[in-house]
Amino acid sequence: MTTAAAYTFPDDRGYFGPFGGKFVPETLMAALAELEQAYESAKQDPAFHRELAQLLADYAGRETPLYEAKRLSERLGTGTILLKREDLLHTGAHKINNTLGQILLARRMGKKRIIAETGAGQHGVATATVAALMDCECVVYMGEEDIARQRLNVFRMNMLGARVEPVTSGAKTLKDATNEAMRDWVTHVRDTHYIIGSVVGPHPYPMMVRDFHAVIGRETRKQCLERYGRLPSHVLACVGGGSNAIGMFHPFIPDREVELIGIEAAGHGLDSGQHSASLTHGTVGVFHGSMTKILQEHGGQIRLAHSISAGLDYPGVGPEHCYLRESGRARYESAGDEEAVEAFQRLSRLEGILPALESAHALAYLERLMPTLEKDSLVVVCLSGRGDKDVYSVATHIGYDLGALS
Amino acid sequence: MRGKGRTALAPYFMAGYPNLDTGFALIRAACACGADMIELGMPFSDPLADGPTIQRAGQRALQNPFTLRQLLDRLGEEKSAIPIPVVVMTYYNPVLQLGLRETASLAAKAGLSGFIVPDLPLEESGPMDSACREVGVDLVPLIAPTTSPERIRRIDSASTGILYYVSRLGITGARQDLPAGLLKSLDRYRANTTHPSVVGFGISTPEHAGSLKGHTDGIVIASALIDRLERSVPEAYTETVREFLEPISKVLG
Repeated sequence: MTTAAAYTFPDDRGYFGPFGGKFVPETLMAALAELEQAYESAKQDPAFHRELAQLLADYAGRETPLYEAKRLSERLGTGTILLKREDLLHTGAHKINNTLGQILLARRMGKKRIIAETGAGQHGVATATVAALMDCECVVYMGEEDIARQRLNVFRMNMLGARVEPVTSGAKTLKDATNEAMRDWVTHVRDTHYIIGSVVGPHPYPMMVRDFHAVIGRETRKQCLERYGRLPSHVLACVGGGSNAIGMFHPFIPDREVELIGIEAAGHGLDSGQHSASLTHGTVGVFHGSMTKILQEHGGQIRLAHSISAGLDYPGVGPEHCYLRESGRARYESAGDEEAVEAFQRLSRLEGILPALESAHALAYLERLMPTLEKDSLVVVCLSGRGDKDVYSVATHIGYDLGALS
Repeated sequence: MRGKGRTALAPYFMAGYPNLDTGFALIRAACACGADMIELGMPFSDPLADGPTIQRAGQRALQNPFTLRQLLDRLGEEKSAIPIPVVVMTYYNPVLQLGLRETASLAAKAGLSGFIVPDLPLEESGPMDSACREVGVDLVPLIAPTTSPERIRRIDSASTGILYYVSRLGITGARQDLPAGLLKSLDRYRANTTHPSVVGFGISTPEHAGSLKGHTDGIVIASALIDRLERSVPEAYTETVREFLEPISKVLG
């Protein structure tokens, strides 16, 4: 095992190399400073870590299994595929790792009102869940388009006591919901904590959200060593904003022999212009508080992203992924709507697991990767969420009439 | 601007609203009825500091998209008919895409006085500030109700021109009332600063203007004016601007 120089990003200005920073209205600067302080003090506090670890174990269901997918491995060629089962967590996705951490911070800061943005609704549900648990008022901003395609999650949030605020501005999807959440935060900043759902936004969010999800990679690393006596050869995760990927990658960064591969959404195809591959096909700009890669017009207007997966349908990406790509430590590929739906069906049939459409993008890339590998390869895929929420989208895509069932 | 006796009136116009030509005609109308400075908005797809009125105006403007370069070029052609200072309000990304030096040099060429960039706080403003300084264009910093006195002094001492005081927590948009305690906060704030200031966000009526007179060097009126235009008809836009601004200008001295 090689030991690389310590990886200490971000720097104290919130930069990962040239990416990151704090590009927000002045009104929020005090709140970001307060959050940074609260997070630094929590990190030094053993009681904070104990409480979070206990909630992650007893409430969320950690640690999650690392499951050897034998039938999928056989089908796709040489090597062994391991699935990190974040889909088995409470609320059905990795998102709860972060929302539990942040709700404890909100409590430390004495903020009783919680807001969040959501695309697919998974982060909204995970936020509504912890807000219920900690008796906080909760408002979730969600684009009207997404409300239509994720009605089940809207109902779940309602049941959990959250108010889902439909966003009708712009394209009515995740980026617009994020704008609206920022506007709410600027207005109610004194009593409100904004739980951002990915490794995006101004510093300290990309760092803090990464740290809360790094439990995914730490467990995977340990489980792999225990069971196979070695580290995985490859680690794969889907990338929208990139929270599950960063959580999975981060503990492996010093292990240079482990290849880190993020998979973006190619939507209708990279040449169609309708995709969400901001990292591999975007350009540098400032969006939602950080310097990062974004999909944009020549003059700097933000373009609309597209993916069949609402959770990847975002024209930006976390700044740390930009750094990992530029430094060569991780590489990034993409998979389209069609491949993701095929991967969804393949995992369902072969392993009895319905993956989230987000995670299905990482699974889709296996089809290209596995035939090229040595037979002793150990390939971990982060199964970031379960696919129950996506059955409508998949049914529509393959032309199956769900209406006939009801 | 400070100490002239009059409190300056700075109406905001969204470039390209309802279209570029009419927008500049409205600016000329504003100059003829007492405006002391013009704030010209560059429309942006994701204006996270703006409320519904300016969002709508921006979306309307973007139906016929133009770049910041095109706006600055056009402003250069129009400036001789605008005898007062113009500052452009733009989010940072269009500036970044045009390039900091290129933006500053086009701005200087167009006779622009400054930029207001709502998503560029002190910690990130260094590169744009240097580019602007080189050509004598001001980067106008924002100061919010949450800005500490120590930070206000730092922002003030780093500034080259006017400061923009955000009157309330929140986004742009017309309001019935000024925030409670605003005048006191303004007086306290002014004691900590050396540069002249304008106040904006929610200032909507001659009564608001009257209360603020003497507590600030200038006021910005944006959404309330655009609201009026939205309720008006194209043939009457110039008249709408005049009817709205004249009483406010009169109150300001």
